[in-house]
Amino acid sequence: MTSRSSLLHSPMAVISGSLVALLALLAIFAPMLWGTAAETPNPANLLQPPSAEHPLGTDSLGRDLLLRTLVATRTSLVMALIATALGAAAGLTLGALPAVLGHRSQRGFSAVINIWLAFPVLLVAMLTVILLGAGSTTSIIALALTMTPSFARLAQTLSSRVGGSEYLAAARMLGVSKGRQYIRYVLPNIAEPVIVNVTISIGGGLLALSALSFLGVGIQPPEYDWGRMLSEGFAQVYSQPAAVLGPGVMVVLAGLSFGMLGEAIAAHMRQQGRGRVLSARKLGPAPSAAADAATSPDAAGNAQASAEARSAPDGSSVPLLEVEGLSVSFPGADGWIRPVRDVSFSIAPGEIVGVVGESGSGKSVTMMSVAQLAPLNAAVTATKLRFAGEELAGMSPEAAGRALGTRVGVIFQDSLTALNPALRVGTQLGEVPRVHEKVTRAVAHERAVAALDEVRIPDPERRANQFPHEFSGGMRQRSLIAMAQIGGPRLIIADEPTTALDVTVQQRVLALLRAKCEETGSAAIVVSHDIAVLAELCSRVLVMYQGSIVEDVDVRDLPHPERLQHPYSRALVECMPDLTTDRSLPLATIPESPEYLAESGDESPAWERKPTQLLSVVEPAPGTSGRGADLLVEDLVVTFGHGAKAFNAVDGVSFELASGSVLGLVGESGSGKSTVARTIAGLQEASSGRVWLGADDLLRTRGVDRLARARDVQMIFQDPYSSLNPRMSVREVLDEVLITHGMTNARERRSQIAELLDLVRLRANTASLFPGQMSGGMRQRVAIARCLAARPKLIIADEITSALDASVQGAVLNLIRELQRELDISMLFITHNLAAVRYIADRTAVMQKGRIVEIADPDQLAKNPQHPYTQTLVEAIPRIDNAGTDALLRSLER
Amino acid sequence: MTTQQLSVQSSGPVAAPGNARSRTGNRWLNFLVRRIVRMVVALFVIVTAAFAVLRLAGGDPVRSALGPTVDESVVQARREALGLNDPIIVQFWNYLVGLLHGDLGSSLITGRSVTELVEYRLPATLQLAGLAFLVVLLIAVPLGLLIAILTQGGRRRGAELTFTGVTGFFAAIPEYLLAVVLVLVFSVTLRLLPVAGNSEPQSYILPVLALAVGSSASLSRIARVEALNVLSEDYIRTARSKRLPAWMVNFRHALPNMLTATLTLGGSLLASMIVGSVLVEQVFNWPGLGSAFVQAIVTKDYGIVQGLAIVYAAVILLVNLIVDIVLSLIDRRTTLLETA
Repeated sequence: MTSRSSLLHSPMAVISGSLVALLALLAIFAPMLWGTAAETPNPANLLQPPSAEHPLGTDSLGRDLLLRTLVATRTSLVMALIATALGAAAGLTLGALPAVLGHRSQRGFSAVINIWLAFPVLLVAMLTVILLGAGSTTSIIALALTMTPSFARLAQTLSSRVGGSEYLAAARMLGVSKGRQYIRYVLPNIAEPVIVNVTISIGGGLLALSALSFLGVGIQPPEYDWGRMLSEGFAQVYSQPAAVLGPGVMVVLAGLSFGMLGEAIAAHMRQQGRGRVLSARKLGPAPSAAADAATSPDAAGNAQASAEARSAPDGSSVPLLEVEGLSVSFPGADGWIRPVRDVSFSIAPGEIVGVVGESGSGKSVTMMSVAQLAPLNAAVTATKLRFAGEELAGMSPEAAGRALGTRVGVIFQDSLTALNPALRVGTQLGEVPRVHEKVTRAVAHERAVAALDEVRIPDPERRANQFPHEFSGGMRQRSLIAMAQIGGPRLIIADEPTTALDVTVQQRVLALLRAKCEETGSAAIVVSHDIAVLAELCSRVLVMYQGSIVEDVDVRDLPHPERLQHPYSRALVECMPDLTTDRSLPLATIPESPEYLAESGDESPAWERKPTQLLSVVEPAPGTSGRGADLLVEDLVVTFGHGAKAFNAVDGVSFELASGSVLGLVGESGSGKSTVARTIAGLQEASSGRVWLGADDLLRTRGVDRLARARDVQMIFQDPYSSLNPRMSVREVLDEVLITHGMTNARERRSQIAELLDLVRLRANTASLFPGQMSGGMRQRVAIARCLAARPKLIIADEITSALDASVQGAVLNLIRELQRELDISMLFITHNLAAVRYIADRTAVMQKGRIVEIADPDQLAKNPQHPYTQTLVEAIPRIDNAGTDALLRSLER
Repeated sequence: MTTQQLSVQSSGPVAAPGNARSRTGNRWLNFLVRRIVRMVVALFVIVTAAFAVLRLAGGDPVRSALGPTVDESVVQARREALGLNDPIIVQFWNYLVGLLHGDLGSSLITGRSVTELVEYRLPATLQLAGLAFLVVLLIAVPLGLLIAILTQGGRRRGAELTFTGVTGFFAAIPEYLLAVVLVLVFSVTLRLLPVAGNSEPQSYILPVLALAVGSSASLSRIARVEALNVLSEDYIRTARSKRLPAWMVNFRHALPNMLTATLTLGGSLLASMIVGSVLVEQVFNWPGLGSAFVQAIVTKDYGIVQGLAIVYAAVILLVNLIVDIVLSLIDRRTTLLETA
C-alpha cells in the first residue's frame, strides 16, 4: 500500500494539503492570540484606510480587519466542517443503507431522496432560517439539510453497485447480518469517492455559509465569519475596497484548498487504479526489435531466421501483409511494459488466419497495432510492416492509418459498445462511402441498406434507421461485419468477434464472416481465446504466449495434439473438454502462479490422492445425516415485471437431483437457468412452486431457520472478480463464514482456514492476499473454499468457468469435480457449455425460454439429442474435429 | 436487479422486432408521466412546508412585520384581511385554492399582491439567468471538448494543469464576490460599464458575467471529464477504424454522447444559477425577484417570502423537468428511461 507516500509526489496534493494545514493552524491559534484584540471596539480608529498599523484598515467600530479575518477562520471552518459532517452522515444513511435492506425500502428511500433533491437549496436554507431564527446553529442545520440529498444520491449510486454485486449476494447467502453487511461490505466499498466528495463539499460549504452571512441571514453579530465581514465591508466597498479584501481572499483560498485537495485525492485514486507511470524523460526510447538486435547478435539472428521461416507460407504468392519485428510497449511504473515482443508473421491474400492466446498474451494489441488503432500511449515499433507492398513502418499511426484507408476493415468484440449509441446504424455504415468515396447522402444510405442485407439482416431498410440498442446482440455483430465490409477491404481484422454471443448465434456470425471472405476474396485475421472456433473458421492459427508467437499451426494438425511443436499449443488443445473427452480422466492443465498454488509440485493427478486427511471442515454437522441431500424442484415459476409487462423468466420448471450427484443445467442467455439458481439459493423470490432440500421446504423457511438454510445451500458465482469483496483478505472472507456459523475459537478457525485452503490447492500464504492481488483462477478457488466453509449440502455452481482463461478452466473443472466426488455433496452445475457439463454432470437438463425441454444422461445428450433445440445446440458447438472442413459454411444452409 | 430483469426481458419474446418502436414510445410516455407526478408531489411538499414553516415561526408575523409601534387595531384589521384568524386548516385550504387560481398571497406590510410583484419582477430574473446559462453552455462545452482532445492519453500535461488550475480558481470564487470585484474594476475604477440596474444593454454585461464565470469553470471541467470518457469508448475506436477525419470523430461521434452527461449536470447547474442570481441581483440592484426576496426576508414580510419561495421552487422544478425531457429526446437509449 504505497498510496500515502506517493500522494506526496503530486504537487497539487502537497500545495492544497499545506494550505488546509495552514487554515487548521489558524483556526486553532488565531482566536487564542488575537481574539480579544479583534473584538474590542476602538472608537478612535473608525473606518480607517489601510496603514502600517492596520494593513487592511479598520471596521465601523475601529477593529483591525486583518486580525478579524484571521480570527474568523475558526468560526468559518468549524461551521463548514460540522455541516458537511452532518450532511454526509445523514446522506450515507439515507443513500447506502437501503442497499442491504431489500427492494421495497430501496424504492421508498429513493423517492424521499428524489423529492428532497427537487427542493431548491435556497428554499431549504430560507425556510430553516425563518423557522429557527438566524444564527450560527441555524446556518449549520440549513447547510446540512441542503447537502444531505446530494450525498444521499452519491451514496445511492455507489452502493447500488455494491448492492447488486455478487459478493454481497454471497454474504446474504452465508447469513451475514444486515448491520455487518452495511459496515463490512457497503461502506468500505463506497468510502473513497465519498471521502473525495466530502473534501470538495467542505469548500462548497464555506462558500454557501459565507453567502448566507452575506445576505444577512447567516451568523448574527457579535459573532462573525468571513461572510459576515464581507457583508459589512460591502457597505463601504466603493470607498474602501480593502475592507472586503481580507475575507474575500480567505473565502476563495479556503474553498480552493479544500476543492483542490479533494481532486488531488481523486486523481491519485484514479492513478492507483491505472498504475503510476514514469514521465517520458525517465522512460527513454521505446524498446524495439531493432534495438534488441543491436544489443544481442543472437536475438537478431533468431529474428531473421524465424521471419524467413514464416514469410510466405506457400511460397508462391506475394503476401498481403508482412510484419517483422513488431513490438508494442506501454509506459509503466518502472519503465516500459512490453506486452508484444518482436512478433513476425505474414498473411497471404484471401487467407483466413486465427490468433489464439489467453488474456494478456498480446494478441489483440498486436492486431490493433497492425490496424494502426493501438491506444494513444502505446509505442509501436517494427522493422517491417508492409501492406500490399507499401511500407508503413516508421510512419505516424495517423499517416499509416490514412495510407491503409478502407483497405483494412475492423470488427470489434463487444458490439454494444463498438457501435455509437447516438447514431443510427445506417448512418454509421453509410459514412464510410460518404467520406471515402464522396458519394451523396442518398447513395450512402442505399449502400448501407445493401450492406445490411448482405449480412442477412431482415428488413434492412427499416433496420438502417434504427439505433444500435434496438438490435439484438447477433444483429449488432452482423452489422459490425457489414461495417467492416462496406469499404471493400482486402483484409479484415476481427478481435474476439463472437465472445459475447450465444453458441447458436456465434455459429451464424462465424459462418457469415467466412462466407463473406470467400465471396469477396478478402483476407482475415481472427483473434480469439477459443481454439475450437478458430479451427472451424481458419486455415492457419498463430499461437501467442506472453507476447510472442510461439507456433504457426496448420488447423488440420489441431485434432492431433501430438503433431504440435510447442507445449503450450498442445495444452491449449487438450485442456478444453469437448463432446468426446474421456470423462474418467482429469483434464490437462497449464500451471498458473506456482508461488501460491499447491498442486504444481504434486506429481499425481489431483484426485488419485486418497482422501486421507479429509477433513474435519466438511464433516457433516452434528445432528444431520449425510453431506449431500436430495433436491426436488416442483413447478417453479419466477415472474419479472407487472401487468402487461409481466414475463415468466422461469416457467414451470421441475427436476430432481439425487443426493451426492451432479445435475447439469444448460441453456443460452435468457433461458432462465441463472434465475433458477438464484431462486434456489434464496436470492430471488419465486412466484409459485416448491423447492425441497431433503425434508426442508426452502421457499418457506423464515426467521431462525434462515441461517441453517443459508448454510445448506451455497452458490459459486460466474465472475470471481466480483464475487469477492475487494476490501477483505482471503483470511477475513473465510473467517467471516466460520464466525457466522458459530465457530468462536480463533485458533480453531485458523486451522480450519489452513485446511480449507489446502482443500482447494492453495498454499497457506494466500490467506493474507486481497482479491486484487490474485489471478482469476485463484479467486475462483477462494470462492470455492468460502462455499465449502459453510458445510453446504447443495452447491450451486453458476457458470463458474466462463470468465476464466481456457487453461485455467480445466484446472477449476478438475478441482470442483474432485471435491464433489470426495465430499459427496449434491451439486447443480449451470453452464452454457455443453462439453463442460458433459464432463462433470451425472444428468443434464436443457433449458429454453424458462422451461426444461430435455433431461438426459450427458453422453446421451451429446450423441443423440432428442429435442430439436438440443439438436441445434449440439450442432452449433465448434469442434476441433471440424478443422479445415467446410462444416461451418454448411451450417449457413440450414 | 433491474438490469438483470431488463436483460432477460429484452432477449425474451417481448423483444419481437415488430413492436420495438411502440414499446419505446410507451416507455417514454411512462417516463414523462412519472416525472410530472414527481414534480407535482415535490411542489406540493414545498407549498405545505412553506405554509407550515411560516405558521410555526413563532410570534405574530403581522406584528413583527409591521413593527412594535403600530396600533393593535391596525394589526388585527390586517390579520382579519389576510384571513389569519381563521382555523389553520381553512387557511391552508384557502391558500391552496388561491394558488390554483394564480393568487400567490399578499404582502403583510403593504397588502400588495405577490402575483403582481412576480409579474413585474420575474422577467428580469429569467433574462439574467437564461443569458448566463447560454453563456455557460457556449463556453463550457466547446472548451471542455477541446481540452479533452488535446490532453487525451495523458498528453500535454502542462495544458491540463493550467486548465485545472484556472478553472478551479474561478469555480472557487463566489458569485457575489466576483460581482463586487467586477463592479470595482469596470464601473468604479475604469468607468466603462454601469454600476447597477438593467436600463441599458451594457448593464447586462457585468451581472451575466458574474453569474456565468464560476459555472462555466465548473461545467467545463465536467465537460472535459465526460469528453475524455467518451473519447476512450469503443465506438470512438470504431470510428477511427473507419479512417474518418478527426473533426468527424470528435464532433459527430464524440460530441452528442458527451452532451448528454454534460447537460444532466448542466441542468442542476441552471438551478444553482437561479440561486446565485439572488446574490448577484443584490449586488447590482437588479430589479428581479432575488432582491425582492432578500428584502422580504430582512423585513420579515413572510407573505412575500411564502409566495416567492413557491415561485422559485416552481421555476427550478420546471427547469429540471425540461432538462430531463430534452435529455430523453437527445439520448434514445432505453437505459436513461429505465433508470430515470
